Formats: sequence, C-alpha cells, structure tokens
Amino acid sequence: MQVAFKKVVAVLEKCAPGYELKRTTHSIAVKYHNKTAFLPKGGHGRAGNHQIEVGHVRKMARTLGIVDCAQVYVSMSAR
Amino acid sequence: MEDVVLPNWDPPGEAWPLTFSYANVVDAESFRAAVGIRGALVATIDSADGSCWLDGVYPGGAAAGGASLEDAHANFREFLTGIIGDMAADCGAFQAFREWLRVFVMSTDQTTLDSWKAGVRKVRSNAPGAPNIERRDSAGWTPSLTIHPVLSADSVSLIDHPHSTQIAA
Repeated sequence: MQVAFKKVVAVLEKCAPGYELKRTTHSIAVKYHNKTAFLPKGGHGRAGNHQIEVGHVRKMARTLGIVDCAQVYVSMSAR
Repeated sequence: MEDVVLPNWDPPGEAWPLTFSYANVVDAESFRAAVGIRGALVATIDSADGSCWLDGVYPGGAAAGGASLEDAHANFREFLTGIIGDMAADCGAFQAFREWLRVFVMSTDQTTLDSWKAGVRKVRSNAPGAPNIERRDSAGWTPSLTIHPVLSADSVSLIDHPHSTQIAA
C-alpha cells in the first residue's frame, strides 16, 4: 500500500503546521517540533510525486506525534 | 484534501522485538568517521507471505519493509546508511555530525517503544511464531552509539559493532 508524496505533504500541511522538509541525496528529512522523521526518495534519487509505502507515513506520523490527525486525513491511493 | 480514514494503517502480521548492530565508515568532505550503533526495531511479519515491516525504535525516525525479515533488514540498513551519509555531508563538521547522530539514534516514539516492550514480554513467555534468529536477553539493554574520527584506512578495524540482528527476550 502506497501513498503519493504530494498526499504526504498535504497531511503535513494539515497536521504539522510549520513543518520543514529537507531533501538530501538519499532521503527526505521531515522536521516538526524538534523531531525528525526520514522518508525515502523515489527511484533514481527523485523526490517529486513518487509513491511512499504507507509504513513510512505511519512511522513519520508516530515520530512527529501527529498520528491522530494523519490517520484521519491521509487519503489512501493503492497502486 | 479528501478526508478518508486510513484502512490498513498497521501492517498485517505479528510484531516482534529485535536488537541490531550497525557499523559503517562515513565519508564527508571535511571528515571521515567510524560509526557503530546498537539499536532496536519492531518487526511485523505477515505469516501469509513472510513479508516484513521494520519500525525503528532506536533510531525512531526510520523504517523499512521487505519480502522477508532479511530483505527488510537489508533495506533498513541501506536506508540508514543513506540517511547517515546525507547528514554527514549536511553537517559539515565532525562535532556537529556527532551531535546530530546522537540525537537521531536516541530518539524514539512511545507507541513503537511500547510495541517493542510488549514484544519482549511475548518472547519471554515463549509465544509461538517468533522469528528463528539468535535470541538476546534484553534485560538492562540500552541503545548506544560509538563514533570517532578515522585518521587512516587502518583505523577502520577499530569498529567493534559487527552487523547482527537478534530477537530481544
């Protein structure tokens, strides 16, 4: 089960106001309230609108402390 | 944005507590560092197909999945190596990287930590279905980080964290 990266960004906009995204060579760091979670980049180092495993989104939500909000507002897109 | 309650938010299968060791040499522009991590993971294994999802306990900010426990662990190590390498480049100086890595390795979330602890109780009660890997007594176990600058290629042998994975009991 995967989620489009733009949906993840939409969840962050809704659930983690003031979040910061930092794209690096291999990953995307998501920082919110002094907590940082890492998401994988898409294939070939891309970080556009790639698909992200829902497990990464769940772990991100737990790490950032936004589970209740994220679980409601993530829109699933099974591929 | 659509308001849709997530189906399948949790991975299918049963959760088991793991400890692991990780070692690597990180090359950044201004320094080279030997890194050793003793961390913990929650492995959720789907008995239907053997697929596995690993949630980081320590470090808590990363996760990975795979077609099997071995596959997921290889993916987790690869992801971890990518994160650490990226941040070494981003930090610029060894001292800043060491501080970042310390915070990264020691950060966790309560839900995943509670799942790991529940898993340990399950393993101790000899619940069936546990992964058939080395068992490690986790009483008194704590995560740890060792990091030091590497001054020559020979110093790499100082790493004392061989890659390994155990089920925590």
